Amino acid sequence: MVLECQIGAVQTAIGKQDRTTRMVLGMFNGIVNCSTTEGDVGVFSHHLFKTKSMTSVISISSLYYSYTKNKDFLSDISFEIPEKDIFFIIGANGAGKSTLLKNILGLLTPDAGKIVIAGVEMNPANRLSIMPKVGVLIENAAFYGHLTVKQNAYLIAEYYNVPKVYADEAIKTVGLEQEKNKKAAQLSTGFKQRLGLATAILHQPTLVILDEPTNGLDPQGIIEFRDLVIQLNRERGITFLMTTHILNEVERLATRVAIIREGQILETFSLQHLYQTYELLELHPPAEQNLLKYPNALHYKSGDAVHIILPKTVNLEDSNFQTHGEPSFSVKPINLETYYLGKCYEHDTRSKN
Amino acid sequence: MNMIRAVKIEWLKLRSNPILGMFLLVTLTIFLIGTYFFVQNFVQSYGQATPITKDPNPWHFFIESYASEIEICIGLNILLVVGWLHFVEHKNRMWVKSLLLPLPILHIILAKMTIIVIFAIIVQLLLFAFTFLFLKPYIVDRYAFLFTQDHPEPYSIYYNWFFYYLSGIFKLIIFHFWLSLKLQRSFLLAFFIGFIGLLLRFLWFSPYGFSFIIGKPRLEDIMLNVVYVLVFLYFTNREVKSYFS
Repeated sequence: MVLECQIGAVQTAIGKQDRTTRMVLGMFNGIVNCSTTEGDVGVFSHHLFKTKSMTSVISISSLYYSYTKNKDFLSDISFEIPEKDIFFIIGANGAGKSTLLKNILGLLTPDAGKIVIAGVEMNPANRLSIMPKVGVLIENAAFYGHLTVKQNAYLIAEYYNVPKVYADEAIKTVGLEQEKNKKAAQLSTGFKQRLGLATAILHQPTLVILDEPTNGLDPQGIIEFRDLVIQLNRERGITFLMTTHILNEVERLATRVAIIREGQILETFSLQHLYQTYELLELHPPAEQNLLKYPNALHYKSGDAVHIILPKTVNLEDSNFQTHGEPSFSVKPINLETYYLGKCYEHDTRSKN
Repeated sequence: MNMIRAVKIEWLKLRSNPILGMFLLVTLTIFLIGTYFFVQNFVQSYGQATPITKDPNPWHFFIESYASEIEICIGLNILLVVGWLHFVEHKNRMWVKSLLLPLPILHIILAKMTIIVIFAIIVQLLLFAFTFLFLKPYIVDRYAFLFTQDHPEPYSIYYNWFFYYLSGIFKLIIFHFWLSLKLQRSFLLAFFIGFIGLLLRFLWFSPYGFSFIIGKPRLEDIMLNVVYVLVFLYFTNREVKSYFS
């Protein structure tokens, strides 16, 4: 808790400093974060970030970005994506997901902080040397409608200066071999996304960035796309960084998740650890005053119920949630949606105060 | 190497597109229509009190009047190609994609410019071929009384024509490309502005000014071209990069 307060104080200070001060404080912040261990995940800390020795494909430290001079749009963003992860950034519209991706891709230049991709620092000078290591699919796939699937893939292979056989292999991997001589404009939305994915992976990148890739896909298309991502992750060891609004999708795919809100990363955590560590206590009226028993617990209100996220270590059997003799609570397994809502509610309450 | 690759990529995009054939068809149609009107007016114009050139050599008059008859059509043809090359990227959201590829945007833009310049040169060479193979024999045969031994054909006029055309075409291409990017979806508006610009092409300092004048290309034209190309390459590069922000 003390550690958290210190980080909070540093973060508050960082928000008011100039670029140099931010970088120095950012380094300090990084050191503090590194000293955080799994053991710090206490009853009320709700920090699932697990620091361990691993090779990071992306490492972001103390990133700041602003569209206007006086207001940070992204503030003190720090996280790492280990190799072979399927990492999701989730957040509401306008939370900063796309701006963060643009910074990662070098399309926007951060005000402060450092982005390292596959061991190389992203900056205007290095951007073109980093891009061959990265495959990108931003929302709907972009390609030339007048060219066939094969011609589109060959064209992108030429951009990356890789042999055409790479393009053939990518077409095969995404299951477009039957369609390879069709004009790209004639493909269905699902096949178009497959083509987008083929052009993102044909140069055999170590990292693939997908921005809301299932937008516009029908349920079958979503399932097929998901299977493809899993296949590429398992068979080729490709690391994925994805954004989406669809939390169900995240639960089915993600190994790790970052929650972003108002330009800040609220938390980075592994889904497996989330499920292992927490459960959801749902209190219905008139038992909602029992929330007071867990003043620091993540919670949110939905309808007339209060949802409290508690570590499984808390023995709820000892708790008396009965009011006027009526049992009015239930304990459920946690899911990403509840945890996300809890984190957002906590953040919004803190911001208001 | 990057630049060669970029040009190859542009060619790959164009090669499989029927629009390439369409542009050549348009070019041929323009030659035929322009030539038809030119032939209709040739002798009448030459006989008038205010011919375009005071040079008594009818060859000068022949080439100069033919060039001025046809140059606006060639200009429109180039505007179409420039607009289309932008439009095909815009329509397919490929400007955004190209920002994420391992080639500098400037190389991609320069590759497009190269393709357009090659197209413009091909159009001009086709025009020369057409002039030499069909128009000139026809005119000389029909108006033999004008083209006498007293006025030998000055061949320098042809390469002056070619270089003068080239000296004006670069600024037109880069400016119209930037304009098409700036107006994004308004492909037709950019074309309309270009059309007005071509009507006013005699304003040599305007981006669309590329009138054919007998004589060597002027230094001020070449300098102006260089300035236009550098300034609008910068703006074009900036415009593409802003596509993502």
